[in-house]
Amino acid sequence: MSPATARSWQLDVGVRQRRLAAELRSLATAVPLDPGSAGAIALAETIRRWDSPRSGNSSMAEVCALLDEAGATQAIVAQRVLETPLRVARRINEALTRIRRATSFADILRTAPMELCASCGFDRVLISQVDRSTWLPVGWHVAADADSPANAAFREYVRDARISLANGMIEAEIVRRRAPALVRDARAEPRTFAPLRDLARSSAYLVAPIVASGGVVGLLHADTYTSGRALAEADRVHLRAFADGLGLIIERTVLLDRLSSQRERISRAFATAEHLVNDLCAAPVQLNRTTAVVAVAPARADSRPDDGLTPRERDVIALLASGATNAEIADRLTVSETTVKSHVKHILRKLRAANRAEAIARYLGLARQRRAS
Amino acid sequence: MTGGVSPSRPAVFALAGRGARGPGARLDDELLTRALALRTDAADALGTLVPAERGREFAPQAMSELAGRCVQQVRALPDPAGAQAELLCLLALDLHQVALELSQHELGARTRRLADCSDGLARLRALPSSADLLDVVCEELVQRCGFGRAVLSRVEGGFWKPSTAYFSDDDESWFSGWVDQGIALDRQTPETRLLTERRPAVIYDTESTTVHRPIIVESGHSTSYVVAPLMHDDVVVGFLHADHHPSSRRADAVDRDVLWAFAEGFSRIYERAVLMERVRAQRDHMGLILSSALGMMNELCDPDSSAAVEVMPDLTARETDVLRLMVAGATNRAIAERLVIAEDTVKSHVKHILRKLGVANRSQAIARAAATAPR
Repeated sequence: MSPATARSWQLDVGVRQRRLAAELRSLATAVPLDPGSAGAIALAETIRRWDSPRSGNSSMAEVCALLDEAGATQAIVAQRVLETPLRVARRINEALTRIRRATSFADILRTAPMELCASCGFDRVLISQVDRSTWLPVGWHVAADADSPANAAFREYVRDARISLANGMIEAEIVRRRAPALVRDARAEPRTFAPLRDLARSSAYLVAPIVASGGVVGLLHADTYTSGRALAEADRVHLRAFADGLGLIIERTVLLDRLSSQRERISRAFATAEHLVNDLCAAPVQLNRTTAVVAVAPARADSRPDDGLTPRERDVIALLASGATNAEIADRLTVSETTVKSHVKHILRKLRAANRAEAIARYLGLARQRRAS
Repeated sequence: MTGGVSPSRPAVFALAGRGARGPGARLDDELLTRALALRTDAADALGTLVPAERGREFAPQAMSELAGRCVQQVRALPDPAGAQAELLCLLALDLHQVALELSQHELGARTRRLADCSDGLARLRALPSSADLLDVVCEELVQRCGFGRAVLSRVEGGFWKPSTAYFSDDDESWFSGWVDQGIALDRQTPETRLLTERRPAVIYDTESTTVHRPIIVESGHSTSYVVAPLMHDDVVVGFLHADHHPSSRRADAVDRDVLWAFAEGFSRIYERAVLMERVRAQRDHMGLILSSALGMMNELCDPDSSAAVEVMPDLTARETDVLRLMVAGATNRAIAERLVIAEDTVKSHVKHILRKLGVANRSQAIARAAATAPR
C-alpha cells in the first residue's frame, strides 16, 4: 500500500466516523430519551468515541470493530430512538388516565406537573391558571435537584406571583393562538418574561395552553434544566398532546361538578316545596285573618263584579265575547267603528288586559264567578 | 423592538415541513438517490444482493444489514488489508450513514403523525354534539392520521356492531350491509381479546390470524389492520378499526400506536360532549316537569277554565292545550313559550282550531269554548 493511498484511506475513515457521530447526536437529541437508560448511555458513549479523532493509522481490524459497533448502534436506534415518540405518546395517555381518576380540581393541579415530568422526560413543570389578562402559577414539580439555589429561588418567586399577559409576550401569544411554543434560546428571545427566565435559569423551554370550556384556562411551562437535554420538536408535540388531554379532563371535572350541583339544587328545591305543601296540608283551618281573606269573595258575591265597566262598555265586551268583530259590534250598537275601537281600548285598560283575547278571558271568568255565586 | 426580520425566530409555534404529511411523506430525493446508489454499489461489491422485503428496501434496518454483509465479506477476504477490503469498509460506513439519516427521517415522520393526530382531535373537539362526533370521527382518522379506511363500531352485550365508516377510495358500498349487524365476540379474535386486554392490536396478516373473516376478509378485503378500543370508565364501549386499503401497505406497530393515541383522545372528547349534553338535558327536563306541574296546579286553582275545552270535539290533545291557553288569554308567543314549541307551530295549531270549531277568529274560538263549558 502506498503512503498516499494509505493517508487518504485513513482520512476517509476519519471523515465518515465523525459524520456518523454528528448524525447520531442529532438523532439522540431529537427525542426525549430517558436519561440514564441503557440506550441513552450506550449512544452517548458511542458518540463520544466516534467524535474523538483516531490516532495515527487505523488497522483494518480497528475499522471492522468500528463497523461492528455501528451495526450495534443501528439496533439501539431502531429499538430505543425510533420507538420513543410513540412510547412517550403511550405514557402520556397512561398519565392522563391516572389524572382523570383525581376527584378534585386541586388533585388535578397537584398531580399534572408530576405526571408530565415523568411521561415526557421534563425536569421542571409549572402549571398556571390564566385569569383574564394575568397568569398565576398554581403548581409545579421539579423532578431532581429540587433544593438547588436556582430551584429554591424559582419556587419562592412563583409562590405568589401574578404575571400580566402583556402584549408581545410569548404567553400572551399562546393564549391568543391556542398553540404551544418551543423557545429554543430563552436568552435571545425578547418575548420571554425575563424575571422568571433569569430566576429559573432556563436556557430553553416549552409552553402550552390548557383549553377548557371554550377558553384558555391555564398554561403549562416545561424545561430540561437538570439534565440539560436539548428540547426538540417532538417535545412540543408531546406537550401539546398532554395539555389537550388535561384540558379535557379539567372540563370533565367541571361538567361533573355542574351535573351534581344541579342535581343537588333540584332536590333541595323539591324538598322545600314538599315541606311547604306538607305544612299547608297539615295546617288546621282557623278563622283568623289569613283564612278570612279567602272568605271575602263569597261574602261579596251578590254584588256586581267590581270591573269598573260602564254599561256601554259591558255591551261591547259581551258582544266581543260572543266572537263579534268591531264592524259587527258597530252595526249592532249603531255606533261608528271608531267608537267601538275606543270602547275596546278602555275595556282593555280597565280589565288590565294586554289584548282582546285576554279581555274576553277576564270577562268570561268574572261572568262565571257571578253565576257560581 | 428593532425592525426587520430576524434570521431565525427562536420561538416556534408550528411544526416544520408541513408539506410532507403522514406516513406517505416522500423521502427526500437526495437521500433516496444516495440510498439507491449505495444499494447498487453494495450489489456490485457483494456479487449478489438478497432482495429486501417489498416496500422495506429503504428501511434503515435493510441498509445496516447490507453494511453487516460488507463487513462479513471483508473478514472472509484472503487479503483483509487490500484495496477490496478498504472499498468494502468505506461502503459499509456509507451504508451506516444513510441508515442513520433514514432513521432521522422516520423519526420525523412518526413525530409528525402524532402532531397530525393532535390536529385531528382538536378539530373533533370543536364539534358541537356527540352525534356530529360519530359522523366525522372516521373521516378525521383517515384524513389526518394516515390511514386508508376507518370503521367505528359499538360494543354491546357480547357483540360488536359496525356503525360508521370512512373510506378514502370511496368504495363504501359493501359496508352499508354490515351497519348495525351484530358480530359475536366469542372466538379468539383480536377484537375479543381487546375486551379484556383493553389495548390496541395490530394484525399483520389476516390470512394467518383468526379474524372475523366474513367482514374483514370477505367483505372488507383487508390484508392487515389495526384495531383500538374506545373506553369509558375502564369499559370497552366501541372499536376503531383502520387499515391502509387500497394501498398494499401492511399495518405496523406505528399504526397501532397512532390509532391508540387517537382512540384515547377521542374517548375523552366524546365523554365531554356527552356530559355537556347531559347538563343541558337535565335542565330541559326540569323545565318541562316544573312547567307541567305548574300547569296542573293552575288548572286545579281554576277548574272551570280547564274543563272548558275538554268537551271540544275533534281537537287533538295538543290543540286542546293550545285552546286552553287561548281561553286563558295567552298570546301566541306566550303559548309557544309555555308549550316549548315554535310560535309558527302555535299559529298553525290556532288555524286548525279555528277551522275545526268553524269560527272566523280567535275571539269567536274563545267564546265558543267558553259556551261549551259545563255550567
